[in-house]
Amino acid sequence: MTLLLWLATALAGAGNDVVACLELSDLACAQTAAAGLGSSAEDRAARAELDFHLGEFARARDGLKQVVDGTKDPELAKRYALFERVASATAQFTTERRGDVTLRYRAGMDDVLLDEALETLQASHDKIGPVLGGAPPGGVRMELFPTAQRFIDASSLPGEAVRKTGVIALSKWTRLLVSSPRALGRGYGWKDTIAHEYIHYIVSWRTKDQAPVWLQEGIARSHESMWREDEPAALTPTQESLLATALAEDKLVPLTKMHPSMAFLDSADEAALAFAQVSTMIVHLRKTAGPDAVSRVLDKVRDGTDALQAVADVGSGGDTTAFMQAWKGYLKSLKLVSRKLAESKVILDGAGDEFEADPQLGQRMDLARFARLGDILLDHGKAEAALVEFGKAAPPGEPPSPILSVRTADALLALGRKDQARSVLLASAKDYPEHAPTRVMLGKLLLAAGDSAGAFREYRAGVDVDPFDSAAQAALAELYAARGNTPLAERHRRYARLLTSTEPATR
Amino acid sequence: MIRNQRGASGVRPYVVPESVVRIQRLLTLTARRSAWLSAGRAGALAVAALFVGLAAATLAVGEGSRRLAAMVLVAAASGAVALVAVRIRGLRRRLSPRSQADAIEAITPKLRGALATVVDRVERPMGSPGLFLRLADEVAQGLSRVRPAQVWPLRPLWLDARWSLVGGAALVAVTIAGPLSPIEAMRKLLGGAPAAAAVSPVQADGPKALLGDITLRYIYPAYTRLDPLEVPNTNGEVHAPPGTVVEVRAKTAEPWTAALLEVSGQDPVPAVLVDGRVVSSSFTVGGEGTWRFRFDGTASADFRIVPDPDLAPTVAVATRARHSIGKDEPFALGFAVTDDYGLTRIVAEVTVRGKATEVPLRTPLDMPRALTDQPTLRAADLGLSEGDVAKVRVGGWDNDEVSGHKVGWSSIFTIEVLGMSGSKAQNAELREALLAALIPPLADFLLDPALPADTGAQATRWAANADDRYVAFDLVARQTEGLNRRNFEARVIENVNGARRDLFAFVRGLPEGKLGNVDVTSFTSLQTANVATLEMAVWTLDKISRAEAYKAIVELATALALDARVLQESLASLTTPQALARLDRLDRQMDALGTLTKKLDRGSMRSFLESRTAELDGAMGAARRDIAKNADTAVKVADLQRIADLLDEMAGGVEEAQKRSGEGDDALKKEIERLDQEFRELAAAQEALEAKTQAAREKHGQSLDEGLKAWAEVDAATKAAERALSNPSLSALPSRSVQAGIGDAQHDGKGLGDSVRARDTEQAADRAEDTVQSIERARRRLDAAARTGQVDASAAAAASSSLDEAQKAAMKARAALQKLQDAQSTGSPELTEALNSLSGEQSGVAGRAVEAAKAAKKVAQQMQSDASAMEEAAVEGASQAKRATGDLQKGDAMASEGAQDAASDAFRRAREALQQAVKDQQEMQQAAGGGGVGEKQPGSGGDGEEQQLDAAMEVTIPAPEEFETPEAYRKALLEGMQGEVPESYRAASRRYYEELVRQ
Repeated sequence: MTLLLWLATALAGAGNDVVACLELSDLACAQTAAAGLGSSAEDRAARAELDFHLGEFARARDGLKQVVDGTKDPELAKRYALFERVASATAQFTTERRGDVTLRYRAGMDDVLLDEALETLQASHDKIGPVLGGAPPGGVRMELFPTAQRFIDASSLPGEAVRKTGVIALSKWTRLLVSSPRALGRGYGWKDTIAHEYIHYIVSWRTKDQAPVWLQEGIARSHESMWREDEPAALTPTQESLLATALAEDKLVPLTKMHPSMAFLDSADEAALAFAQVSTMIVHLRKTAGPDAVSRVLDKVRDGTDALQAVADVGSGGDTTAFMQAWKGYLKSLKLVSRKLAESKVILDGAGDEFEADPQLGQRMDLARFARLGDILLDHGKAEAALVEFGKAAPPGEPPSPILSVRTADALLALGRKDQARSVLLASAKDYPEHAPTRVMLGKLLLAAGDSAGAFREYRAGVDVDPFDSAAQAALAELYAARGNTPLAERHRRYARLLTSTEPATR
Repeated sequence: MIRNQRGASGVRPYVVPESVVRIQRLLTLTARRSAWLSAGRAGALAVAALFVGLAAATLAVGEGSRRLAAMVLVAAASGAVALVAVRIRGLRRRLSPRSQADAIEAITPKLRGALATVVDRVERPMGSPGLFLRLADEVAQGLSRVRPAQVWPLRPLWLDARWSLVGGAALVAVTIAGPLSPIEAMRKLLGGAPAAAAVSPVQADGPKALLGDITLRYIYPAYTRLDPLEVPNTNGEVHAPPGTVVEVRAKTAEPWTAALLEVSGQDPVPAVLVDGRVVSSSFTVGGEGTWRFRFDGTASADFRIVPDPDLAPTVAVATRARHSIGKDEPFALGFAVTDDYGLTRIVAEVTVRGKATEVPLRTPLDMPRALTDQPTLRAADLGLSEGDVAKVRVGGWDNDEVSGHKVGWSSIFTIEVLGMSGSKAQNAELREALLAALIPPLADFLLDPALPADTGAQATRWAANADDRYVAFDLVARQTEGLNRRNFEARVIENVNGARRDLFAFVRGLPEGKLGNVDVTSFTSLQTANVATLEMAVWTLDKISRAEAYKAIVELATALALDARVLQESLASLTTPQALARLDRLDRQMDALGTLTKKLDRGSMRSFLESRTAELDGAMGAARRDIAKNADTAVKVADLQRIADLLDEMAGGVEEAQKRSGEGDDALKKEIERLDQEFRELAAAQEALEAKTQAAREKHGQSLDEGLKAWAEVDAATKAAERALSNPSLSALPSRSVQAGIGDAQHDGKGLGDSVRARDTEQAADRAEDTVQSIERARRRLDAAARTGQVDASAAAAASSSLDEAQKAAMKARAALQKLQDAQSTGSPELTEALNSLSGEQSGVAGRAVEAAKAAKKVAQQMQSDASAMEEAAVEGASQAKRATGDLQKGDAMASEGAQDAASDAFRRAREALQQAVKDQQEMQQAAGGGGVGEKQPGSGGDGEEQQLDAAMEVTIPAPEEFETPEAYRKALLEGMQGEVPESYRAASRRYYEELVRQ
């Protein structure tokens, strides 16, 4: 926002109004104010800024270039460099509009994301917006980037920071910037992530950008699944494990440490713990003060009340200590997973070796070596020996590894030991539900065993995380057909064709 | 029989699946047997024909018809040749794998068609490798019971052999009944008696002067370096190399007044007569001929002169017929040269493009009769450069100064100097072959039981079978003969063979009976080490292959992106067919990207690249379609722009992965350096504390001698207990209960030994007590088993005697340890106080050691090479440092010194293991071409360190300036050569000394 603030001070009249509206994430207000813009350099700069927020990147770049050429202002030059980068990163993007949603993406493989991305955003707009007291007028715009590198170029974030922290999506400049699940080897929960970023956009607009990070993340994390479910999202088993440990050891992350960004916390585990804390705080708030509690908190924050005080006002009559104690009591009432689980690392654009994304093997080169040996043996038809190596890669007392579970199941299947394979996968899916290969393989096993309901559940979960698995898409299509859902069956058949066709980009 | 599978399909050589190797081995054996039987049958028929012919010819000669006999003999010989020709006609075809396969299929109907298919596919690879492998596995399974004798039985040979018996019988009959024997007949046929002996130019008829007691004294030419040789009482025949002076002395039967010595081809020389009957003279051996004395006109008999020729040296080289080397890649040229009297120089004759040059290899100063060496050479040493294909032979020159220096040559071999890419491709092929050959044995060893045998006999059988697991590996390893030992692949082979040798040598040396505890421990430990070696070899080779694929992908994708952009820019000037042709070329190159991607593991990079490859296919399709229908130029340009972008994305992704991996390596490198420093400091700190503890002990009463004496007593008693407990009488007792009891006692005895060696008084005392108790329990069980007849009386008596002996020793150890403890508890208050004051410092070291052990664990987990030894040593160091703290607090100086010593030793070992792990990792990454993921080596010092590594492996000669005088230098070199030094050092020293002397 620094540059916007600078612009606001540098500009005058309508230009100033446009920038002020943009600062408050109020695009409709900015568009109205833009009607009064003239042809002065300042006004042209303000119009370029508005175009940038609207996603008209080439126009924004060209507009600002005229202003930059006539001035030596370094801030404007920086702004122009950003516009140019974003225009380059989004070159050849296609725009798709449906209802309140505008989506820009690169046609081709990412076509398989189009329908569900639009549906998710529309559902978020329709279902989550009202819960939070309304959504910003003028709809929502989103760019879907095929690679993390393009996301980095368009986000203005330092590449190193993105790759280190694993940031894959962002709500910025009244738009959502999201990386395609293709940017990660095995996908990620991209639909909830879209909703998560949209919630940031709403909260920013609702509070005039005054909500602190912990409140933003608490609301976004807890509400990100509400585009598809009525109640807030449950914690992941890994988050539960972290929370259980922190509670037992009294090592919760203080709210003050979460400022100014979760990215500055000491470790990825501490960040995951912080997310789990703030998420459960908001869930607790909803449980104690009702579904409109969050909206009321946002109103108070917008009016200048301290965020924790606002939460306490709504949740426990204004006593912050009482709220925190009640929240801890709530945490203790939860049946949290106490097994030792590790957090998966986010690996962007394939920038890691085979096991780096694995929560366990990614940290343990010594164990990963045995896992790779198992793979080699399995590839050479030595399944029994592969199991020995996989066993060495999973010594007792260490957190389980989802990749290893899938490989172990592979070896067991090669030996015809289906029941054992299923048990291994079921246990792993419980610990790491977002590991798509586990879910898809389990779906395949259940389908072969005649459990079509179970298979549907697993395939759906797998495809939700990694929609680029053509075989899973095809299987899911048939399961939809068997359930009589012809439109979705057709959709997933189309996706499967798209992913296996030699010309996926020809739509 | 193993064929190179290189063919049109581009299947790589060496990659021979295990099942195919088994099939080929059987085909080789059947072919060999078939060849042997064919030869036998042909020989039998030929002998029959010759016998019959000889018998007929003998009869014909007996009848006086020599002409008929000759005709019969010619006919018989022709018949024999014809029969042999008939028998071996088409032998080559019949020995082919395909014919052998047909023959095998004829007796194994269930394999009909399958074996022939496998043989055909091996020679001409096509179709699915997976299906082929499956088929080969099934065929190999089906052939497991087929033996060559079943395929080619002996019966046909016996049938043909009967004809030779018939011929032989005819010959015997003619010999017995005929007027002449075959030999006499042949003599008659050939015209009488054999030709006379060599004709002498000085031979004369008439009466001979008789000579006796002939003594020959040989004075050999100087170059032969043979001492003079006197041979008394000879028959006069001279055998010596040319140039030898022969002094002849003899006695005559009657007295003479004058004598001459006559040698063929030489002028007569006067001989000396003593007392008219002892004659002597001398001559020099030239060529073949005779010598004699002439007395007053009467000559003696002629005596032969047979010169022993000085032969040219024989030269053997240890290298393959064709050797491909990289331009700067060192290779070992092994040769062995021998000569009758001495070698003056060894050279390599290198012929390139018809022009031969000689390169000196050795110029020995001492002219040895045999010289073996394996100099390490590079292409430039032979005057070769990149792309040269040279015919090379090694020659040895002898020292013959009489008839002139002669040279002997080795067989000719070819050296091809590869360019950078060719060399890399060859190494990559070799690595791939090694990987394929090592996977089956690894799998088999992994599935072996934890202890594959209970007895030595079983273990020997197991070893015989287990060694067969390396058949394919040995085949590949043989391809590397002559490979430089510093070469990564050569080291992999050496490591694998080393662990294998250790394991099998141990197993084959086991006694036949039941394995004892110590043998079981060694067996399992060697088995584990062998598996670990195979694992590391397989993992490393695979890792390198993947790193190479990463590099190749970046290079190819970057080049293709550039091609796409060039095409994009030149699109406007191209016709539609031209543009489509260029696009097709791009498309074909992109196929290579897909192939490379498949070489990666199933990780995120592979998913990323496969996703982009799929999208690229689509973009290519769209571009092709738009170009074909001559769409708007802007559309076509956009299509190509998209292709270039996608290729850039691929290259960028892989490059980013490499960069990130390098960053991780840098962090690890720092951690390794820190840990290395910490181990060094901990070892030093621990040593200093040990010295302080010792000083305090000596100052305040406990002398070292007393302590050592006490511990020596404990040592002796403990060893006696261990020895008694490992007595063979305690093994193989039939009662399980007794065995369990004895096992417990042996376990406790070993624990006692460990504690005593660690000088842990308290624990040793506890273990001594445990040992005494467990021996007592074992004895009670033995007595009970003997009473109930489970163990026969004599075995029980022997076992009981061993247990008694062990018990006495354990009790002695217990008593001695008690005394030590008492001495410590009654130590002077000053000593206790001094030791207590050191415990704080020791506690600090222990704390640091614990942190170092944690860091060691973290580093070991992140290293690509095996650093578990470092981790274990660090943990042991921390444990000993903590124990030392406790001992100091208790005032036990001796125990704490023991723990301090063990701790510093453990830290040193940890440091060595860390350095070894870093070196292993470096070597692995260097083998990958210095690139790939993690190009920068953790813990490496860059080029400097690499050179250091090279230096460590190369033999170095001290510099002359390190010595005061040149004489001292030469003396040092010669002395160095006298001692027990590696052969490589010895050879290098010799070479250096030769050079030095020539200067």
